[in-house]
Amino acid sequence: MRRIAVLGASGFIGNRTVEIFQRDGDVDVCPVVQRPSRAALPRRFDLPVQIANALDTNSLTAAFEGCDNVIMAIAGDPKTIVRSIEPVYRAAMRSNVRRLIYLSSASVHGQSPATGVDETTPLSKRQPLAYNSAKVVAEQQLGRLREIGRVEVVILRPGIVFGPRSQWTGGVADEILNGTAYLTEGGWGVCNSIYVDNLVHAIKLALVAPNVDGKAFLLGDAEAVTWRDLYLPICEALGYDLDGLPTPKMADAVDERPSLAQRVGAMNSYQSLRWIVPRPARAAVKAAIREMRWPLNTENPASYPVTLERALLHTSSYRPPYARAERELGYCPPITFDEGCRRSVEWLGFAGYPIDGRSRHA
Amino acid sequence: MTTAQARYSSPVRVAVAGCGAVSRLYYAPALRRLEAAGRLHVEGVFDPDPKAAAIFAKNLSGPRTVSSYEDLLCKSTQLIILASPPEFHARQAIDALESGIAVHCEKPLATNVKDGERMVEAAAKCNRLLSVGLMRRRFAATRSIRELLNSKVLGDVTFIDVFEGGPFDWPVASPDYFTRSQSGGGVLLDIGTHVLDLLRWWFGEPLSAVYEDDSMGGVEANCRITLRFRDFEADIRLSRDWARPNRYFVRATNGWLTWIANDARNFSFGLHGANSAAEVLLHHPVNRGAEPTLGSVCPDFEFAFDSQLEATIAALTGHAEIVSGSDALTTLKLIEGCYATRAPMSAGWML
Repeated sequence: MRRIAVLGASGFIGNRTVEIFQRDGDVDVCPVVQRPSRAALPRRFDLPVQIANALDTNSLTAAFEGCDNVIMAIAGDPKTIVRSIEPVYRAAMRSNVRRLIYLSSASVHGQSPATGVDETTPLSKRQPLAYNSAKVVAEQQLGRLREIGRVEVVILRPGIVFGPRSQWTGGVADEILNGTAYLTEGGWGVCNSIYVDNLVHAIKLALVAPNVDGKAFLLGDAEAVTWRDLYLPICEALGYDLDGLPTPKMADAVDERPSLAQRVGAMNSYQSLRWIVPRPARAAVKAAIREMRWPLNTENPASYPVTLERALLHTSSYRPPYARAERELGYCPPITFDEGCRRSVEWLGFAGYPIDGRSRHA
Repeated sequence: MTTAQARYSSPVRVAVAGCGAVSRLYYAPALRRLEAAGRLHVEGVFDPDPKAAAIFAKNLSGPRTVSSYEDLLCKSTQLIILASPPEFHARQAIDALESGIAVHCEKPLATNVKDGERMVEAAAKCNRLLSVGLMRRRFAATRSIRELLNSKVLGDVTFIDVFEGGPFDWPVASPDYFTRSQSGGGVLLDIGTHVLDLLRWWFGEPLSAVYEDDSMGGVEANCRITLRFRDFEADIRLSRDWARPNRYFVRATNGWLTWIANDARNFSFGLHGANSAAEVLLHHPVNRGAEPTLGSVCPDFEFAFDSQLEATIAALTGHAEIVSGSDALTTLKLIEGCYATRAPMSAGWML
């Protein structure tokens, strides 16, 4: 049985990958996490969990030992995204890994890609968002390493990955509940969604597909949907009216509010610090995180500040095609968008959200 | 003064086994403060990792670090604080008790009921104290809530809802922490020990429990427990996975009450139909003249460790309010009963 390392197994995509591999039972999965505390989710299974720092070739080499493939699903700030590439590739080489699957992002083409963009479109390192630029640099570094190394590389570029434990599901639910959700220009823009199980399906195909070494693949759901479609089932489940969300104009976009990723990063930083900093300092950090939320102002939507990232996403007019993945990986999304939404809402209930009007305090 | 009181009027001689995160972050500051107050003296420290032991000992007044647990069991030691991994609690506690040393054991008491019973039996047989680190009972907030509920100001309880947890980030030393052999279980035995102890303390013994979790061959990261009390149910959701507000909600016939987990001195309550509710910051009461008034604000979370150890020291000489081994054993039995009747959590999206 093939042995596959999932680097970043505590993240939402890595975790779901482990879950599906375990469910299907066709590979020997080896979860790799950054520190012992991150083993809580993979340890729901009777699986050995490896600890490795994504910037340390030696610990990665030990973690990849005996693995045929590595799936690189780590999250991080732009610096980590770039700096982790070489250690991971070199460790994979030392461990005689055959193929590395790198989870990049469709945002290498920008949050609102131009019509006609596909995998053949040249990438620019100079993008308004640091995350996008970092993903471009990471892909390019992988390309250079592949030229001198033996490990095959397949790059996957999913769009907006939603589903259980996604910030586009749980994070949006939090925003709706705390009054900070909004849809720029009404959210009628194209949402390049992909349900997380469809992404894992693509990962499985990429592990074995012939003649895909060095190639990148855009990925999405089968259906063309809008941001309203993504938010609607979450609003309904929580008992909120989608049309009650603020709908600021694109012109109101500012790049001052921390992005969702930044806020998650801040929360993660807080989580990691909360045991070791004195309580008053923790309170200050918490307060700072709370300050990152803008107050709800539905009466005057024009004054509602929106991030550039969200504004671009909400007003996107083009969905990059996944035709190459279809052709060369055999990718055909097994889960419909509606089913993905239904499962996401079911997970919200599992996670403790008050769905379907069932307040936990009723 | 009795002979026993005379025996402990000087600082109690304490040893510490296990210098991991809970010792480093919480016990060390409490021990420092109690040493400074002349209440105890830490004379020995053990951890299998000598570096961890040395770091822990550094900020105390010169305890010796020893290379084996047995070396702590010297005649002069009066109290051992067990903060080692739960799998070692039973053996280490029984060895200490049989050596004539009182034990303060960090929660959970043990990884299984059989071990817990052996510990309680050893304490009884050796006539030595066995207290357990369930420090939430030392919070001013949880004590006041208990008094408020018993006073029936809010009426009779009709429903309890608890969510506690979030992404797990306690600085454990190894992923082996997440094994039944080392820790006895997952989130239920970890956070659940605190939650169930608190609910038992507030409301008495539940009549029954229905339990489900998300273990798939390993240890659970999520679980749900429905406790049936005589007149109401408690719905408890624990997680090492995803954060929701960590809140205890109590609905009663006349009003309601909420408490944020681990908030040592605040809670909120209100009466049904009232157009205002109270957010309470607890103070110590003082008497100025004939009337009571507000004194200093009650201590925060960290000081519950001081208070807990103070109570254990007081219990060495006579009566003090501690969580006894047999009390903690009742919670452990409830937990083991949950595991024995476990059903998988409904998780359709996993298919």
